[in-house]
Amino acid sequence: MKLKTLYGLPEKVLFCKKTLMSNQQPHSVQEFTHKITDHKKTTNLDKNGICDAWKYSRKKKKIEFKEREKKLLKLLDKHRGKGKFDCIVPGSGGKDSCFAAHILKSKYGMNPLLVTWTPNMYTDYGYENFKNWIKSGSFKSVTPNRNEKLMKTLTKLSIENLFHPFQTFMLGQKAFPPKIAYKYKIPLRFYGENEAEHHNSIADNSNFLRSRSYYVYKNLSELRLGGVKINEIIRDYNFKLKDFEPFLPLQSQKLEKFNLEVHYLGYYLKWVPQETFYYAVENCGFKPRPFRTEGTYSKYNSIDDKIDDLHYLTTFIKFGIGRATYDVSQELRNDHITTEEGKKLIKKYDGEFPNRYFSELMKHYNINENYFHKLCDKFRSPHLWKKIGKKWYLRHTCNKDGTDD
Amino acid sequence: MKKPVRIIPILDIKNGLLIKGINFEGLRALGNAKEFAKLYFSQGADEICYLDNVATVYGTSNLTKFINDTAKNIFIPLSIGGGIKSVQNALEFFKAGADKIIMNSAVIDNLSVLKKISKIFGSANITIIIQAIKIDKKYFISKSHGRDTVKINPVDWAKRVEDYGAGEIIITSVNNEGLKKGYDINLTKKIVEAVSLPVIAHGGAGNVKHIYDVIRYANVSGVGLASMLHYDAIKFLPEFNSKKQKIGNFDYLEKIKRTKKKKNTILEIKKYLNKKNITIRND
Amino acid sequence: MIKNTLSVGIVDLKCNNLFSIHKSCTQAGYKTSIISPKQRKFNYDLVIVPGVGAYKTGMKILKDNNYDEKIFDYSSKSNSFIYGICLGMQLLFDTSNEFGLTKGLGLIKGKIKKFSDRNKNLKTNTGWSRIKLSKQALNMNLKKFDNKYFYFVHSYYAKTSTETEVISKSKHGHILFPSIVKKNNIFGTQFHPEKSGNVGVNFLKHLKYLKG
Repeated sequence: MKLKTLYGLPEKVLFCKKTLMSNQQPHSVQEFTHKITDHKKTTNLDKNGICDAWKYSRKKKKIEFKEREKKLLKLLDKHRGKGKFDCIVPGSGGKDSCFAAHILKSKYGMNPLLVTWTPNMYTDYGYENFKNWIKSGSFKSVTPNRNEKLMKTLTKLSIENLFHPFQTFMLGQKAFPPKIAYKYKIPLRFYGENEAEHHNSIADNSNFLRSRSYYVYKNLSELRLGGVKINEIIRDYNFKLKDFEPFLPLQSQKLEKFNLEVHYLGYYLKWVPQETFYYAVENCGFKPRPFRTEGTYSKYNSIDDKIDDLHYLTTFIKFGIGRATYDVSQELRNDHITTEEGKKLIKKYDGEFPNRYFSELMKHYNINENYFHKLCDKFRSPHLWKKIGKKWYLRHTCNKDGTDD
Repeated sequence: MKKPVRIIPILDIKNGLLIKGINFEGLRALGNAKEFAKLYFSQGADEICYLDNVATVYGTSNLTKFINDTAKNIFIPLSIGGGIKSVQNALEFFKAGADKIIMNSAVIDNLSVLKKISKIFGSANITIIIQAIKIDKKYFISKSHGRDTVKINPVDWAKRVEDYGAGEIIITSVNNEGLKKGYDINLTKKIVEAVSLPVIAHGGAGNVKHIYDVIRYANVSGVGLASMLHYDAIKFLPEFNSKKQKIGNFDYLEKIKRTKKKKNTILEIKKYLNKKNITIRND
Repeated sequence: MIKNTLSVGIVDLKCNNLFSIHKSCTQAGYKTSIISPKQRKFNYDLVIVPGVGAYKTGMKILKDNNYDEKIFDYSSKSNSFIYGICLGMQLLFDTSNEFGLTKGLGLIKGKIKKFSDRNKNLKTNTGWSRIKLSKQALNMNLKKFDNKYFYFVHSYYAKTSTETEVISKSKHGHILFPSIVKKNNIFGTQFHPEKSGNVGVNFLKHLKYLKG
């Protein structure tokens, strides 16, 4: 019996032998044209069942970071001291942006400007971390002047139409920094880990500049937010076009005039996620969550927005991939745990319902809780889920204990 | 005549490695745990504690050979904790060389298991570790090495475990641990005042003054030390061959510079406390 | 004449850490082995009864394996020496009231009592305490251990019928209790020498002189 697949996902569910990530994992997309009917590009497993990110991690072990650091110094020498700020570090005060900003300033003598696309709903410890991040280097920080009502509306639409609560965050996270770079005329911007480390195409990695297609667009009428065309949102919710400006990327004409360089710090410095945590605590006053994150075993990844936990629930529903799987596959790629341990952690924590902030979020976005649960069922792809009685079960898991395994 | 305050190195372990996190997060490996235990014994430690960080998460406990290896080299009490949930587990650990067993998660799940085990092995040999987490000014206890909070107040919990047969309590401040900024003296004091059992402070020691303060103001029977000792000892212990054991966070180990100069932190701590008129074992 | 290498047999009460006492005795230079329940007689220079745990359980295991008979038999022989450690020392006495009244081996006259019965705020004595030698210790050459720290972990203590058996005393709160007892070839320490660092190992070495 052939099962229907949503989102253009591959019919057969397979797991990478080394990272336990499944072939259902979608790659990053251009959020501002995202439609629910889009077919997703997904993680590729080769004929031996190994994914690209694993292969990259093996290559990474052989990299001579001393040489890479020299390249970094050359790059930094070109920009250091030029203008009021010589580079931009986008982030939110999480461990990675803490590490990046602090090391650029304290070790490499740069003067970064911190750029933050504020979260939907700050957690209090997340906000403390954000403040401490700024304090850690007496940095200046820039946050957007945006219409919060629109932010709320767009998030609600993206939940209801795309089951993607993170869209508004991802939009701004990608769109906002280049605009600030353009505004302040700062040509150099640093991101942390390279996306190819996280299963995007292996081709992305050898070129350390972020692909330009990520954040430019040519025509306003192409655009959809929350799965809905912009002019429809304006009409139905009474917003103005200029309210959308913070969410949209820089006009491509503007970009062509200004030579904006984007680099992954992870290309030049060996990025060990756990070690950025220690660094951030010791140097930037970073504090992990006081309690374990629902859906996984860790306490220090993506903890500043209450909607983070909900986001991972939706990835679990849509693609069968929960937060624990993401954390485990990162630790596996870094040789920090064994696949046996990874499987146990996934079995124990993946897909755990994020109860802590759920009611608060539903109230904030004016979504009926029961309606949300109905949405969960709507967005489950039949080839991934099976209903037995009143409960849903995955058909396939990396532990081979799915209903169809 | 006051009993000497015990200086107790506490070692978080995973697969025989000494690991050290912050707020019980992060599993940075610092080397072979038994090498550290041996060193601390020779430096004058009064007891050694091993806490298996992941036993409750993975549901396994494969410590017996490891306990054996440590116990044959040290002649001071060895306490072991990590996933102990039955009489059988306890017996295995005692047989392997443990003098005391430390329990937490299993007792939170079912207090009667504490009663049962203490009846068979004697309360004096059962230590309960309370891993307290502070959220928005309120305290909670936690299971699984700080991973799962439980809506019970640590002081209330201390009283309950005393009633059910605990012989000793270790009170850990998860919020302070790994930061080397001092113990949670208020919390520790409240636990000491709530029970008649010996209480050991744990979580946050960074210097001798922190240790003195918690002894002086919370009146503890012992002090647990981790980061303060381990990050020091690592510099002059023999180099750890991370090539043999390939899986783990060895990044820090590979970067540190080793010195030839040996430093006896435990001796320094005891000297300082002695000067401050704290009764300490100094043989 | 003091034998250079004493043979030591350790009784297995099945609820304690034998590993450490075995290691320490070996460290002290003795030929050490664990006594098997099948052995009908004890043929050692020194028999150690270590112990961790509850009195009732300890006595039950001694009886179930006929260790009590074997111990009585052994103790009547010349040149035998029995050494009880912690619970092992308490088992040498007449009775204990832990979890109801239980009879001990009765090799030394006296009772086992609970600290908290005398003072409800005094529970387990855990940690290091000094031992203070009594006059009875004078001819035993134990002076180097006077006032030294040893490791204790117990909730019960012995109350001997007479003072002659008390070789050293220690304190828990305000309660003075015997930390070393001796009646001819029956010997006991409330503390654990195998857990008392280097001082403890030296104490074990000294046993061969006590045995005579």
